[in-house]
Amino acid sequence: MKFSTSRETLLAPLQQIVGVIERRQTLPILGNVLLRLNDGRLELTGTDLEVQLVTRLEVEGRAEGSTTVPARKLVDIVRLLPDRAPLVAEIRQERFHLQSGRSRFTLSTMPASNYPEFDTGAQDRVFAVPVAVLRRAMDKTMFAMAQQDVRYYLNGLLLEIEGTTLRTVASDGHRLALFEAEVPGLAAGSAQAILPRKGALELARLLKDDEGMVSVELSSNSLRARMDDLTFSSKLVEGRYAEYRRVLPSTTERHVVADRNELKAALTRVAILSNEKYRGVGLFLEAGTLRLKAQNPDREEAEEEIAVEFDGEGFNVGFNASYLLDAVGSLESDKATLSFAESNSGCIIEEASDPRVRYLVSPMRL
Amino acid sequence: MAEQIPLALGFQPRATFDEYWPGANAEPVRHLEAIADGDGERFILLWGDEGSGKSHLLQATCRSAHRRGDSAAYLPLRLLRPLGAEIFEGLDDHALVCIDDLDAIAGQSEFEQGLFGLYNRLRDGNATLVVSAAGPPQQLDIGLPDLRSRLSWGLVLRLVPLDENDTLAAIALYARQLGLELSPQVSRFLLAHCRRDFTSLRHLLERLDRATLAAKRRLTIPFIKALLEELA
Amino acid sequence: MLPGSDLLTAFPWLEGAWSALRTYLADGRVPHALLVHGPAGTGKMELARAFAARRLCTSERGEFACGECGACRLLEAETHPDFMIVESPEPGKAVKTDLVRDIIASLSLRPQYAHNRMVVLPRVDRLNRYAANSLLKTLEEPDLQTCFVLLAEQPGAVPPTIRSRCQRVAVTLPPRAATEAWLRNHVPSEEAQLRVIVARGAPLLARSLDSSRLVARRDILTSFEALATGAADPIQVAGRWEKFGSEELVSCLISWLEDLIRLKIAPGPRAVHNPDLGSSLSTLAARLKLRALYRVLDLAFGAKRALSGQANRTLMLEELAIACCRTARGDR
Repeated sequence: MKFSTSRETLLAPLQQIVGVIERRQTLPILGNVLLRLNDGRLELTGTDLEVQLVTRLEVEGRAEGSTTVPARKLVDIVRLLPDRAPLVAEIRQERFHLQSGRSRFTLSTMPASNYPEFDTGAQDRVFAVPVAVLRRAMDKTMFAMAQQDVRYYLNGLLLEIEGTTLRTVASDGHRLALFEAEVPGLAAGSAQAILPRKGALELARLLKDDEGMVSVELSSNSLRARMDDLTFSSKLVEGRYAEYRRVLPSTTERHVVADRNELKAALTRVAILSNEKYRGVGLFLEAGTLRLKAQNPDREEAEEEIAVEFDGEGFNVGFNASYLLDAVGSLESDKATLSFAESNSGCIIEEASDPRVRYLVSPMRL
Repeated sequence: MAEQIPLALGFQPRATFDEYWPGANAEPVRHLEAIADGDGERFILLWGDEGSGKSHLLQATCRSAHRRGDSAAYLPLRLLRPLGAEIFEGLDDHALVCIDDLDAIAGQSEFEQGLFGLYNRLRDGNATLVVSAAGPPQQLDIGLPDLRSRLSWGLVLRLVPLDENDTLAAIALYARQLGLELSPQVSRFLLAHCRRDFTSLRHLLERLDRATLAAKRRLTIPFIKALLEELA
Repeated sequence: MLPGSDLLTAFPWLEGAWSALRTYLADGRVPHALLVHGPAGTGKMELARAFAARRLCTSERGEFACGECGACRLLEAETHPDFMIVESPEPGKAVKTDLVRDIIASLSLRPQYAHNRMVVLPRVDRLNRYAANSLLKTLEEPDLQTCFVLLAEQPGAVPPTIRSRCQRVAVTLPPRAATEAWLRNHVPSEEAQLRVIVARGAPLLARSLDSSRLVARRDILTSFEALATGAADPIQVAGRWEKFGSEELVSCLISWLEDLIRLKIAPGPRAVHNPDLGSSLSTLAARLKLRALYRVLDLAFGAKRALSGQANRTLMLEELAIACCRTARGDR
């Protein structure tokens, strides 16, 4: 393998790869980046066996081939070379030689055939989604994922396809976030995949552009997302997701419409004096007003009142302020609708204008 | 004290044969599976204690027959009683009828007449009937002598209570359906410290499932102890 | 090394165990959990690796892994992501609970390739209760892709709850003569017999024995004899024993005592652990009292158990030496 390129061309893709490589690996080869040169295109691959990232760049290829070299050392060298420095890389006697002007580096290699790359074969389902839609689907829901729950599926993001509907669901068992979008031409039948927490966070990070399409490819084992110059893969969580539809109240009788910013600000202030652990805030509703109250173990108290659209019979209910704030903060409209089922099964928070994003927050006993 | 109420997230346990732990009841299960396959007895009376799984098995039989393309009906009498004896009408075209909780109508002559009629019609139509009750035919308070004798004509099967090991296995199976992590120590602890019949244990597991979700805790023995104290 | 088609050439005595595994593969009914049991040094790990390799190999033909496909290359490089050996960092020790938990957590994600995932767990007969419980939980709820291969020297010491969830495959010792013949291909011919004796017939153990251990064994056995004839001071001998491994010393002592007891119960030519000791064993056996021998044997078994935990080794060696010495006097 031999190619030449410039520091700038190589650095950014290399840094992206290093992002997924763990600092401490179970297998030494996982600390390496896989380089594969084919027809003037250099492919860089990094994995931690949970996720994998492949980036592609154009170089001036002189001899095709593949190898793996220590990723962090390589990125440090390239980063510290002067701006616009030209690079020539070559494998000789199983060593990776990098030359730039009068600097020369020789790195150890491990054979590419030993590298545990994700399967590159065809996946069962392939569909294209606008990058902006997938990003929104993830941004609006991921914060509700659990962190280290024993129910492994809760530590992940459910991605669901049903006809032309793309749906994402996340829950930590106390609140649930649900996003739905119609994607014309999705036509992927129906499919469910649980993306593990790390896979979801990494993928969301990569979905930067607001334009273009991402090709999502699913198999029973992994999800692959292809964008222009990069391909991201993540293993999926074993097992199935809980039947989330069961927890969404089928009908809600009491609807409260509030100014979103006003509600958010009031909640934020009241929450200061809530119990630090449980963050409980009481919502007291009467025709036209919502009072928010909190109290902490030191008997310090906060109370706020805001005007809302509500004309039913008064009632009160308690919530974890953080969950309400996550949900309210994630809405984009001026108004937020809070709907309550007759039985105290929780509160649905959504935008009056856009019912595709919904949050369900389970109440607290205060 | 502030307490987070969890979402009722989880898996709906399904009444299927796969999700029933037979223990010493392999024989009754085999007969019911044969019925579901369209090739079993014409009439079965299944009896056993509360919580032995009669409803589960009757539903599993219907579900399985239905999946095979047979028309099947499941009638929980305890729930349907308010609707009157007409519930036994209009079932003649079914290949399989499963009647749960016969005790709920025992001694009520209008219901007994209705069931007697249904029995005869199904028999004429070569359909299958499965009835569950809390005891064997001779111990049921059936007033109508004809019905009482009919009930003993078919195969009478008993579901025996599970022994300790089978109860352990059954709650482990149930926990799996809930998606709940149940370690062997925890199941033994439950068996040693709680009511040991399967129904109570099942309800307890459901509570524990919700409680672990609320507290975001693992299901450990100290956690259960705390919860049991709270319940007591 | 990736054991492929050369498994049975390299380790011919594995034929029986392999044929059981072959049947599972041929029927396409590989159990979720296998318990491969047999004495130390008989190739259980090699068998497990060959089985895992065949299971993960992407070539559809052949009784063994092809050795050439991508999966085989990764296995050989020990970088196959769907193959795990859950081994303690300390050789011979059972794995810690945390490691078992980590592995189980990693099984919460789907395998990387296709549908098979193999997890090999050596020395499950030494798992502590917590690790065993974590493992049990996983065995109770197997995912369809994962096959656990558990290895044990003493299947009886594997918790019954785990045992009952495994299909069992036994690796048995080949006849001594066969082991000796096999061993001659690997070690100096004249050492073969002695190695088989010391390794109690376990071929791989016999092969891997360090030559110095053969000499050490001779020294140890001689010291027993010296003690039992009253020709040595027990405290001095125990001091000299410090340079040997305690495990080895105790197992030597047990084999020596068992030989003496055997010869005592039924004098005459007998199959003994230490045939190289020849007539000196029978002479000694004739002089010693059976009860005294049993007393030391009990003590030795106690010492063996204690060695797997925290034991004061110096004290233990002194006790053993004194006990050996007392056999000479025949007192309590």
